[in-house]
Amino acid sequence: MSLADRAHPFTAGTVTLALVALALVLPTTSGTAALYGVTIVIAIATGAGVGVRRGLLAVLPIWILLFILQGVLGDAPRMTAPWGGTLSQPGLQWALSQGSRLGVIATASLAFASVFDPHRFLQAAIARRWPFGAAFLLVATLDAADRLGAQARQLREAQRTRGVRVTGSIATRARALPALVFPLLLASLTEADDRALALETRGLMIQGPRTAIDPPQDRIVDHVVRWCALVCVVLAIIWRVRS
Amino acid sequence: MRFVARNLRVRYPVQERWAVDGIDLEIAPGHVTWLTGALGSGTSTLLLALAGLAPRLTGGERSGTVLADNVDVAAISPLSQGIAYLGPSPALQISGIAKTVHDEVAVGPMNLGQPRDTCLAATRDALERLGVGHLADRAPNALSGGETQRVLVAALLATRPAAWLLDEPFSALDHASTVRLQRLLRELAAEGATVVVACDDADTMLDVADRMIVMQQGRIALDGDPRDLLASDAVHAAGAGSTDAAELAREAGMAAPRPIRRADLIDLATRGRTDAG
Repeated sequence: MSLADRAHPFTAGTVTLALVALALVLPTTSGTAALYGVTIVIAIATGAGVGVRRGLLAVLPIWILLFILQGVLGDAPRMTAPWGGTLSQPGLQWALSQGSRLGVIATASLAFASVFDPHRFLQAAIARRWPFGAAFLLVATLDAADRLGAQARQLREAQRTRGVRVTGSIATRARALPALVFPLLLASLTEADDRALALETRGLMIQGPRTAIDPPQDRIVDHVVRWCALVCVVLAIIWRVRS
Repeated sequence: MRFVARNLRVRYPVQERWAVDGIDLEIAPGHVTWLTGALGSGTSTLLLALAGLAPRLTGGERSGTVLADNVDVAAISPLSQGIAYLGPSPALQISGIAKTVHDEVAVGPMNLGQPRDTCLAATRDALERLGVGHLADRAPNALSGGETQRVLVAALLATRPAAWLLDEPFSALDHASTVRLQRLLRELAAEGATVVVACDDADTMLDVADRMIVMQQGRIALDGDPRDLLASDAVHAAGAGSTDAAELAREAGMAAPRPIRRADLIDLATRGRTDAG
């Protein structure tokens, strides 16, 4: 079991939010670049390394674009590039700063998503007497996304057996789209009524306190990490305001 | 829990016809009441109305009254009042908030705010009574239709309701699970619960039901002892299905035989063996 799996769900969420806030607040290029490094280390150390790879894939096209627009085509003063030719010094700095910010946001968010367990989160929210509606909305949305995906796959197979070509060129796929999307939309609309019925019959609409069956442990180390994250953000804001 | 419906009419949105049309009915606790009828006869709508879910969630309108222990069901959340409702599509009644079948069964007691130990004990007991303990660690979304049906009955059982309103609860069950659920329904009725089942399978319900209500076009066409009603042609005339034996007899141009419950058959066989001995 990784560190992220053992941590209280609120701890992972707080650290992620703190990293995103720091990425937006830290003023210097070196600061954002260092933060990106810290984010990668945290993600790997806590067992959420998959977020690093996914984050890299997500921001790589933007990095290339930033490099071309700011580094290659940017303003003077220019510096010599290792392969010959010149690069814009302020443009390169700006590209590095913004690229790092994006890297932190993408990596932290995707790492969090890779370890986020909605059911543990719900149990933690119930144990803390958080508004059940808000926590349920989050968990049910994630569950609905899963079910919609499964339904879409079933529908694709069903349409394939009816002779609809769902693979091949982009044009072929585009032609198959209405045959896939409209039934899915209709099914979702019909299902919405049934789901409402389910919520009512399973007691999910009942007001009042609920019982956490399996509340995640909130250890001292979780408290310390959350407070540290909060203090870091406050200090960064103070630094930003003063500088 | 005693249900009393007076001049009950329920209509769905944009429908001119009343799905339930002027029903007067009393359902007493401690019995299994069986609702049946042809497609569109109104059995499912009557169950929804008894649970207070129609028209509150289905839309449309209702006139007349439905009281559960003298409380109008229109204003209450069924589970908090001890009313368990199982719809005809169990997969859609999965809560979506539980990771395992164990947690799914615990959702009801959890939402009722019962103490944790009570929740866990009720969950264990329900899993055991429905014979789904071996599924406890499985994901609720990865179950077969029959497993889902049993898990949902277990989930309702864990809330220890006073009234059970079940719409086609045997539809996806195999023989062993059907027998187990039949036995459970009889046990629940014996424990004093009100059990109302909408079901098309006369052979299955014959073994369970104390009372049979046949609906036709939203109204009660027949109401009585299942064996008496199934022995006559009235059930067929009202558009409802009968036992396999009665249907076969009808096809052969013979009178419907008086149906025999499984328990009576076993009793007969046992007595025959004793007499022979």
